Amino acid sequence: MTRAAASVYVRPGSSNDTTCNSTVDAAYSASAAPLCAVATISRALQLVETGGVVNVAASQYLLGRWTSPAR
Amino acid sequence: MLNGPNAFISPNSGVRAPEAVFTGAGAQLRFTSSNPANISIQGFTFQTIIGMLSSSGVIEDSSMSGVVSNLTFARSALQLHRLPLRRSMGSAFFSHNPFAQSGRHLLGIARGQIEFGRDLLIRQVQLHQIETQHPHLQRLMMTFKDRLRQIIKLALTGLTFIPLTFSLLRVKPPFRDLRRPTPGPVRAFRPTQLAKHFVILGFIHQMLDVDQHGTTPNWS
Repeated sequence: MTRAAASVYVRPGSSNDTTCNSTVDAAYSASAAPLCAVATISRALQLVETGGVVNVAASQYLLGRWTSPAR
Repeated sequence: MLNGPNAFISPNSGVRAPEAVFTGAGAQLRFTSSNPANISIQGFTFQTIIGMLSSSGVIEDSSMSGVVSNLTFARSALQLHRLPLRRSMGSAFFSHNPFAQSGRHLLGIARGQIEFGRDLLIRQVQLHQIETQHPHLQRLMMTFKDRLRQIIKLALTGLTFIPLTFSLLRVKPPFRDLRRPTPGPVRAFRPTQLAKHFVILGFIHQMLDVDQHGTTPNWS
């Protein structure tokens, strides 16, 4: 697994976990990808570097649908 | 570090932006790290979360509700949930349950350091600790094995103040419950009932009436 960046972004509902690399706080679009935010925190935690920052947009996050990986 | 929309909003003077809310009934948000002290969660709203971090950590600028454990809070707005008292109407509720009166009368229990409300009267004087070589005629005297010794009259003993070294529970009933009956409070531990058994502290009240030579004044 490749750690993308020290700072990653989460935008649920308007982003794409598969295409986006979470390095930019932008919604997903075909033209913006891969420089867009991911949709889930779990995906962001996979992409962020050790000691990095996960920036989460305002939304509802239902726990149980994602888990954080052990470091 | 997990930053929400209000990660850098001051809880005192700032206006919070729309929240990123963690929710889920009975869910657990668990972070594991080789260095848990580096885990930082800021600017979120947490609802119904039990068990947040695997060890110590910091949550900042977050509005929280629900039950959270193993956390250090910094600049967070906490919403504490009221825990409803157990309400059961079985027979044991009114007889042997020590919380019967608490539930019946909605008594408030406060723990604190309580001292005696009044002084205690010394009822016993250790005679062997008091002696005199020059007894006065107006003092009550009695003979001991080797000499005369003075007896301090009980009425002259002073009052002593004895603070408690442990905490007690103080129960203050609300005014509306002062006259509400409590059925069968056999082992209830708080007021609004008469004591079932009168317990008297073991003070020794002993008066010595000694007239050694027929000349000692009567102090009583």
